[in-house]
Amino acid sequence: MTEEIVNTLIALIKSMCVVMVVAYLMTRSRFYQEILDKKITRYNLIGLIITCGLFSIYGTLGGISIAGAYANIRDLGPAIAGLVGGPVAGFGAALIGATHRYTLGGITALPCAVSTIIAGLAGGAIYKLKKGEFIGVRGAVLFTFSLEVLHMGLTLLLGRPYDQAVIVVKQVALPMIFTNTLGMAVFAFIIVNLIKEKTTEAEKELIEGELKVAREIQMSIVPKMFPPFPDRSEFDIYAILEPAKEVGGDFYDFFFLDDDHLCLTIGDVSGKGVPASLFMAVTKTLIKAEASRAFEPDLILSTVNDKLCSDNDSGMFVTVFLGVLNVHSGFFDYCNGGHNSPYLVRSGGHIEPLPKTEGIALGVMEGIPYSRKTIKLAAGDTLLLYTDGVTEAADKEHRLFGEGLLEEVLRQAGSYGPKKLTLQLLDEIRRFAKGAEQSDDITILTLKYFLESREMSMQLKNDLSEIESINRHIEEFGETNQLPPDVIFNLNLSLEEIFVNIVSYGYEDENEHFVKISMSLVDNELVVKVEDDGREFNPLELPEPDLEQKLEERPIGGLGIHLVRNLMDELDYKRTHNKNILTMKKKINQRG
Amino acid sequence: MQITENKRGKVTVLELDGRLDTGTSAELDKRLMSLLNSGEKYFVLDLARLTYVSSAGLRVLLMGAKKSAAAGGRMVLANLQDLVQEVFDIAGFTKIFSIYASQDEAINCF
Repeated sequence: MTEEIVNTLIALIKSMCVVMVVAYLMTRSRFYQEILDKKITRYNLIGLIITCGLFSIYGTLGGISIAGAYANIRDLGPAIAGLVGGPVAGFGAALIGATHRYTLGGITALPCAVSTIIAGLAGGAIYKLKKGEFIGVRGAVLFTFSLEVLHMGLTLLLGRPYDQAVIVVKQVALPMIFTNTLGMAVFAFIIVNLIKEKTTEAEKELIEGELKVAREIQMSIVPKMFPPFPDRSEFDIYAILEPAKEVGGDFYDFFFLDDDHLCLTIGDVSGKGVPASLFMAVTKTLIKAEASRAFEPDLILSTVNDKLCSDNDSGMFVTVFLGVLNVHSGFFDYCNGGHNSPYLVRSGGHIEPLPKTEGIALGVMEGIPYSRKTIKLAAGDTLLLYTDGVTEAADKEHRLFGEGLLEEVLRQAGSYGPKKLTLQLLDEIRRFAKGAEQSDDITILTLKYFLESREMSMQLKNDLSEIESINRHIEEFGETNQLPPDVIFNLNLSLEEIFVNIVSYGYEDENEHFVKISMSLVDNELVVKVEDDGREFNPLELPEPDLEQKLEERPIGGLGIHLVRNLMDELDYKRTHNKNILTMKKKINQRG
Repeated sequence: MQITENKRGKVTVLELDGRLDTGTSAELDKRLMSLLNSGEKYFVLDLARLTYVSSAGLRVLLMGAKKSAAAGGRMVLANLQDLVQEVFDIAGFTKIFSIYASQDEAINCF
């Protein structure tokens, strides 16, 4: 008898392997995925019913005959159909399996069929009770255990002849209960695994969605509107932050401390991911707050360092470069906290990295000494701040872009405006990388200095001696804006002619009057305005001299305005509010 | 503006150095008038170092040329810088003045 039991067990365990295979295939099928997602339709229900019904039949056929009865796992199919698909599915599968069993006849035909039906319906009932949530491994196992006990009970109750039924039950009870329970455990385990997998997938998507938002927040913190100060012509500024795939810790910032002082800063937080970007946001905010209190870069970084250290449990640190530019004088004070030295490209083409200062990355330790240095920017000089995403950009062979190539780009593009230079550098980096994945944020901040305003105005007395002053202003304006010599010449000439006209013919009294001359350079066009409060006089209405006349016939006067007309591109005259306003324009083709 | 005066034969050579504008043209005017009054009528104005000229300067040159011609003489120019040449072109003075590439050439025309 023991041998029989053992054989039975072995056979049933073989069935178990089939269970596993069926379970795996079923749970990976599309119709099952839909049911799991609670998208129950007629079609996937039918799929479930058929699969589990056939499985039930298999259970019957694959069973082991013991004393005229079959020990088998017929009940599993319908039970599962009921547990995962509801009463309809359970009943449907059960019907298939039960009908088949009943048609085979035998002592236990009725109890087996009834038991199978009960399995399906009970499973369905549990589904309803659980509102569609899978009952779990333990619950399924208990259910199946009870089911098989019931099955045995039914066999005793309904099996005829009674004494034979008893023998059958004695033989198969243990194996039946054991194997069915085990089979259900396997099935339930696989189902639960699948559910867990889906949940993890959903959570992963949620996190990725949040990371995306974190990235958007990080990007929105850095200033991105260019030009940021359109009314300030002392300098031009441009910056980019190209994020790596993961949320990173680079930042840059620039803002005015007062009318004359512009603060520039760039930084790189150690590490990646959300922690780095949070640290970056904190650092950037601290810097801005401190900078509004003190102008000295070393003091700013020192204070920010102490503050970062005091709340820093993460062990993160950040390299920072910070400088303050006096836009009128060109003096640039700066302090470097462990960051790559920015490059200074002089207008003559000389390239040098800024000398380092005392100080290390911020956030490492309180009380670190920071010191500052000063350089003077001249007209046409460019400052390039960058993070190591630039120099450590790698190609597929892990070769690095490096300072060498960076300097090469600066040599070629050093005279460009900030936007063009920055985009050129980025383009070179991308070309170098040749499609290799970007591992670090690439951040570049470029500033070009023009010294004085690209605008100038002067107020002059109506006296010819003022011509000297006009001259001086023009020379200065021309030099700092690198105007070509012929433009300066024409400017001088035109203004002299106009001014002389006004002084000589504009006033009928002996009083002091003021003539206002203003100049601005916008987009390579020079616009000059002369405003006076003399009598109404439109110089453009003067007749053109006759250039064909011979020496003896040429009149002495009338040449001034003629020269202006020919030297300037556009002339415009307006009379408003008792003022003569003459506007002259000239296009500049290249800088001198 | 500096005026350097030299006599080469019958020709008075005036080298102008600097700017000939509203402020400085009177000086040239005075010099020319004084020279004309003392009988000089052949003039070469060497403008090699003249960096700037405005209509006031042109007026003085025109006046000087007219008066020289009226006196039976001539005024010619030499060594115009590019920007100054351009002004002369616009004013149409290149038609009424003889302009030479060197002082010697200018003198030889007399």
